[in-house]
Amino acid sequence: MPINPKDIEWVEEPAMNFWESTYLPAVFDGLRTTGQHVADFHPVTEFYPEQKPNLPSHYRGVHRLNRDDKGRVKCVACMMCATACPARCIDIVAQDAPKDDPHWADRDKFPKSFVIDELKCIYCGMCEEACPVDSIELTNIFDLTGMTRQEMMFDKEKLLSVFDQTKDTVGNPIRTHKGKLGHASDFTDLHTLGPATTVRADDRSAKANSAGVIE
Amino acid sequence: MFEQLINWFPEWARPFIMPMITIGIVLQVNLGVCSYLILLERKLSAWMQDRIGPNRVGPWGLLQPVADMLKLLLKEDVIPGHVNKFLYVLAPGISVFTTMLAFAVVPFGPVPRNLSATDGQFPYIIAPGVDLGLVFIFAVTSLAVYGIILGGWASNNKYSALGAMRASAQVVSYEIPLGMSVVGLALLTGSMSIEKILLHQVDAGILGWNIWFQPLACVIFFAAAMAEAQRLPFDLSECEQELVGGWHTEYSAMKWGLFFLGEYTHVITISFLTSILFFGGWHLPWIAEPDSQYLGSTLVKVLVLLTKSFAFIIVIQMLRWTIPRFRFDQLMGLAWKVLIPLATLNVVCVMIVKQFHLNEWWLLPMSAGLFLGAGLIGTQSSRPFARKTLEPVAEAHGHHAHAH
Amino acid sequence: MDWSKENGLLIIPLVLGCFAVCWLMPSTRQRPRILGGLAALAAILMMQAMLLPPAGDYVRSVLFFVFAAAAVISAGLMITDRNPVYAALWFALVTLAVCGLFLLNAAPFLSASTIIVYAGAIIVTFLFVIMLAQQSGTATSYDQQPIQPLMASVGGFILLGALLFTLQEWGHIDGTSTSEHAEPGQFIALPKEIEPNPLSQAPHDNPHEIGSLRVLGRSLFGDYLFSVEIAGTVLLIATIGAIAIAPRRSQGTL
Repeated sequence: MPINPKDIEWVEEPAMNFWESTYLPAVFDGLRTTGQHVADFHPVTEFYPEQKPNLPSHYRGVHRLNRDDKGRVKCVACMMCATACPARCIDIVAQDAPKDDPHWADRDKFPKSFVIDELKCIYCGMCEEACPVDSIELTNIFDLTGMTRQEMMFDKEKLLSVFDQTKDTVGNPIRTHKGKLGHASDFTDLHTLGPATTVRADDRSAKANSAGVIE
Repeated sequence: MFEQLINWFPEWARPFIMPMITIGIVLQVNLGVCSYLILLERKLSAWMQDRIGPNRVGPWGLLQPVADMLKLLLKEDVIPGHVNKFLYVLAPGISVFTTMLAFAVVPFGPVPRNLSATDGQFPYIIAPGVDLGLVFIFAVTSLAVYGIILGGWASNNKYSALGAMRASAQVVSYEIPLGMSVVGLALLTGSMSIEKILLHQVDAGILGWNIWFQPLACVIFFAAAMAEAQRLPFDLSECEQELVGGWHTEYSAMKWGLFFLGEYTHVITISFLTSILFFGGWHLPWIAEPDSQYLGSTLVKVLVLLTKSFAFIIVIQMLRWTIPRFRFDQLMGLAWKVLIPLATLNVVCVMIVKQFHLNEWWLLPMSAGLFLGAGLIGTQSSRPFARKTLEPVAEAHGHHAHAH
Repeated sequence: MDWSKENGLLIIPLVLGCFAVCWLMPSTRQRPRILGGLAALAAILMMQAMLLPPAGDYVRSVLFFVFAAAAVISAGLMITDRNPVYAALWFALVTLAVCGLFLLNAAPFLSASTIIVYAGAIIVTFLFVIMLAQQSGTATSYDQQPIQPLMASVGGFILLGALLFTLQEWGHIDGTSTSEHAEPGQFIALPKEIEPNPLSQAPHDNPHEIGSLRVLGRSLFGDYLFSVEIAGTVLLIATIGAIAIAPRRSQGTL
């Protein structure tokens, strides 16, 4: 289907001024920029294995299953996470809570088994958003390894142990509270890295009449 | 210096001793320097991009080249099944051979006047007294493109073939401004010999350096030589972003390493040539004059030349991480529409000065005038490109749509 | 001296060479290539026996024969190779070998400029075109069959024979030949002394300067100025023509 000519917006290439068309000043200008970075050297490199990265609190890593204040698994086996999962990596077998047990008096169901295939998972965080009881959450543990595929199938015990391991660490607060996102969704105080170079408003690239203009 | 060593050999062998020693030194130093230039390039790029660069092997990563070399040597040398084996193996050899051969006529220190092969003086050049040094270098480096073309074609890979075709067109085009830019030097000196061009500047002092008379030629030479060596911003034949690795996509282990040895040797040759042809070689006023005879003066002269060349290597490496790559039509346009006419006009200027016995300093304003004139023409001819080319096509489409 | 006795020997290698080239040309029928190879070898050996080594020391003679043999054999392979890329590479080798001969005869500038122009530019352009036309490993029958192998070989070798006979005659007339102690039918490779052009303005007094850039420049732009200018004009016209043929930007190319 041909494009309607009225839909085409013609973007003029800006005419080069005298010094730009001689190339060399632009070359020296570029060399000045790169030379300044060499002279004023502030590396942003992190020495990874020794120095762990300072991850933003909305980072999505390995899952955990939260415990409630009685130490039970919070999950009520409602299957909403398994339904929401686009990668279909969550497998839950629900079980009715034993009615006569006072330990489970306030609950209808609990997961008999809860398995997440961490190799299938795409770490999108939809399970976290779907969960009505703030049970499943993504931690900022990113360096998970295993020698076999079986090791990467995280079952309920392992997911609970991830919670025990991470509940007191700095980067892993309880993120959701009764369906509302906690402070992790507060994007003002996220410690992400800024770009190494900035675009000034008087740069030619910023003035260009195209999408993605930085004002 | 080496008389006793030479006299120890039989008569017929004596002329070969000094060249052999020199070749040995140059080859070994070149191999070491190349591997450390790669480390320098990695470090420099890291510093320019606010990174740290290789720092794990040895203090400050200084043993990284050794590790790289060992890795290249011990890696499995894969020859893919679909390649043309003979040419595939031959190509890296050609690449290294030609670039190393080009270094034969490049002096790397104060070449003694009245040199003979048997008097035991260290020559500071592999092949002294080559009357046609510059032409020899251009002849040999023009053969270096065979390594790229054959490697690209024999790999039987579309990326390699594209890279090789780009390289062949590029090298053939940039040979012309490269050759034309030094014709002016040959006219000023009256010789094509690199040693004579060097001595001519040394005898004239700092105000006799060719950069004062041929600044435009220096720029043209530097740009064209970088294009010959396939360095950024002219590395369209191996650009990683679109051609994987270009002509060396299918190469691995030491064969790949040989290609890079060739490229870095080429960079060293360019830097030496620029500092020798335009910046007075080993001459530095008051410190390294032709008549300075203090203890260690020869060493100082060698160091001056090495420092100048090193500065140009740094500039080449910084340019690589500074300037974006040309588009192919811009690359060809730069060679044929800018560099070749400018180099030709520059030669005409030198001819005028020589013919009418003008003061050689007239060449400085002439070069500046040519440069500014080129800029002026560039301003006039830079017009909105997309609209003029594509608008008729769009209107035709519109017409088509209306007709239906 | 009897003409056939003197020149008959020359005909045999020519006929043999013609046969070899014709036999080795790529063809649809399978032929025993060894036969052609043997014929070519015999032709080259007979030709070599007729050549006198150029005057000079052993190193020169050995180098001369190495370069000459490389040139002749590469030229034969260039014609007979089935793969056009290999043919272009053999052509490059021919050029390099001939450049070696130039160097041997004290013409370094000619040698270097031949390398730059032929090996460095023209053959690279050939390779460019061949690579555009076909990839490595693709078996295309396109452009792999000679159209007139027999006529081309015979025609080429008649030209070569005429050239050799003329050279031989020239060698006899020249008077500087070694015909007194040369066998009848033997060839004179080169006259020992090259007579300077009597009209030349170039200085010949310094024997070291023969072949140097200065003498070459004097000779080109002094003695042969008119030819050089004519050649330059022809090349300029060709360049302008190429630019005129090339499509304009408004015609839709970059």
